[in-house]
Amino acid sequence: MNRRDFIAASSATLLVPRWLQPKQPVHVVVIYDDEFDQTRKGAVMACEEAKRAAVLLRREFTHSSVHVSNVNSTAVANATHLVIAHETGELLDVDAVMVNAIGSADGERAVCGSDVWHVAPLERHKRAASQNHSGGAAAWHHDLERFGAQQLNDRFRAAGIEHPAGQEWCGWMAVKCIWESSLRNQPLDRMKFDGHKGRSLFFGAQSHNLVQPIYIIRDDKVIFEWNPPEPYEDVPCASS
Amino acid sequence: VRFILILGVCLITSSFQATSSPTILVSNEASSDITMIDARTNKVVRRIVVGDRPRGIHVSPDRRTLYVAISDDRPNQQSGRDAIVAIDLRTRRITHRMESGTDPEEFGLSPDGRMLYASNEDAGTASIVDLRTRKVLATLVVGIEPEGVAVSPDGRWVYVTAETSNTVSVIDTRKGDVVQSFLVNVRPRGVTFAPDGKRAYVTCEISSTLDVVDVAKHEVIGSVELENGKGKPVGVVVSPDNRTVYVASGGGHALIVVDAASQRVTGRNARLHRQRAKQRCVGDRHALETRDCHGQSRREAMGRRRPGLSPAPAVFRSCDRRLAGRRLVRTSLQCAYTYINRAH
Repeated sequence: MNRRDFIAASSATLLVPRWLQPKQPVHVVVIYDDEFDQTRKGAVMACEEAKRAAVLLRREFTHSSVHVSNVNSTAVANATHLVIAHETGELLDVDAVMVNAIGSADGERAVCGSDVWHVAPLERHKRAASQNHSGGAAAWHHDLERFGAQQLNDRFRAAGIEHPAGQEWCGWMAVKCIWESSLRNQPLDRMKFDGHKGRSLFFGAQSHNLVQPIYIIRDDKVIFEWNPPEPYEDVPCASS
Repeated sequence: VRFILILGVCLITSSFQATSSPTILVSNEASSDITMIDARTNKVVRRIVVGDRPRGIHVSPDRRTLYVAISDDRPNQQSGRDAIVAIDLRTRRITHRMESGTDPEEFGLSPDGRMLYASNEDAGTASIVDLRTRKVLATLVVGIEPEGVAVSPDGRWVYVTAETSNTVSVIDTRKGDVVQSFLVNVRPRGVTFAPDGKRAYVTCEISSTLDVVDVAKHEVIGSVELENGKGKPVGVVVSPDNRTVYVASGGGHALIVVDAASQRVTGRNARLHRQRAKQRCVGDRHALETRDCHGQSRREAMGRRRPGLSPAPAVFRSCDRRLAGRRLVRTSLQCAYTYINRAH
């Protein structure tokens, strides 16, 4: 199933009772480069968790990882979803829903599109978070404990990620969003997600950015948690 | 949930105690002990050291034995510190320890008191323990980060929620195996069966919903949004007549009342306050509801009153791990227990 089929199926199933809806197979391809190998690791961990849940729920979930230098039509041929963990190349012509797991230097997202979604914190949110607190802004930290963060960090460590940070979390979250929206046959911007941050995370309908708390890190400790203002005012994607 | 202290509570009658007043039993995750509190005076009467990180706590159906789940801090590693501890409520002493798989968090007991079903949080499994032989009969794969465990009133089904995978796994106790899993809303925590066994209710913390399950089909048949999506529900209990579902809302600082037939919110009680727990009577049942320092709340039934027997145990969670030992208990006590005697 390609992207168009997936979207068509998702749209159609909005009108069909859940028990009648077809169970769509999901194949996630993680495309990464060396700089974002940690993001790949987080994504792969989430893929393994999704595989496990898929067995319980009698669904089909498969995944693969491809270095950006090896991306070709064969590598992504059967992908229903791509997780983007690299800064180079444009993949908009690939027929799959794309979830961008890395940040963008321009403050908003450089890549826009109806099937492109972003899970890394926005630069403007990072700036807002660090406005009154000196330190680095991050999506995650290995010291977080509340709201199941301890359990997630334990799972990261069990997967060989000793000090999980924003990169790993974004990779993990990208796959989690893909899997859960697929399970429920819902587009991402109609969903609420649990990122182990204690509140429901959601995608802005216009920007396709994941709205989420951001942590300020100083001396390897979380000193502040910033939350997006409510009600949240979404803005269109920068290049749309 | 590692850094949330778990306080388990039960009321024990005179047949098992020197005094006639009911006793509250509290498991303290950080101070590694069980506190016995005189429910009438709200004073600590005994402290029982049980070992590492006690969390789940329940009394046997015959009210003679207290079971407590304890675990170490090492994820995914089975050790002798992961166990179910049995305490004789007459002598108030530990009688034995049983294996229960790695990192047991919550558990449920079969109505006949012979079997124990524990969620193993870090391993994503559930363990079936035979309480007579004190052996683990089976370790079953369930969803990721399992927590809530409920046994159906007839003992046939065990539901195990899983917070990360948003699933409920169904254990058929006759087969001793997971026979089905189904999807619920986001971050399921608490689960309970209605007394007639026809419906089960799952609180989903992040989606802020109460999911209604048809037990015959093991299928979600409805979902009630709570507190405009900000309810953070955890604890849930059903009235003895099956008609009313009570949900503790951590986000709303309130007890939400849901009509089971219409699946609509019909009321909410006065605001709950941080670190406050309330015990209340619902019909002829007692229940306890709490809210902890981390914004999570919990509500569980304490069982039906029977002549000569006290209500069954309830479990609630509080408080702040910076507090420790008896100081914790006292601090909790000062703000934790409020008894109310009417439904809402």
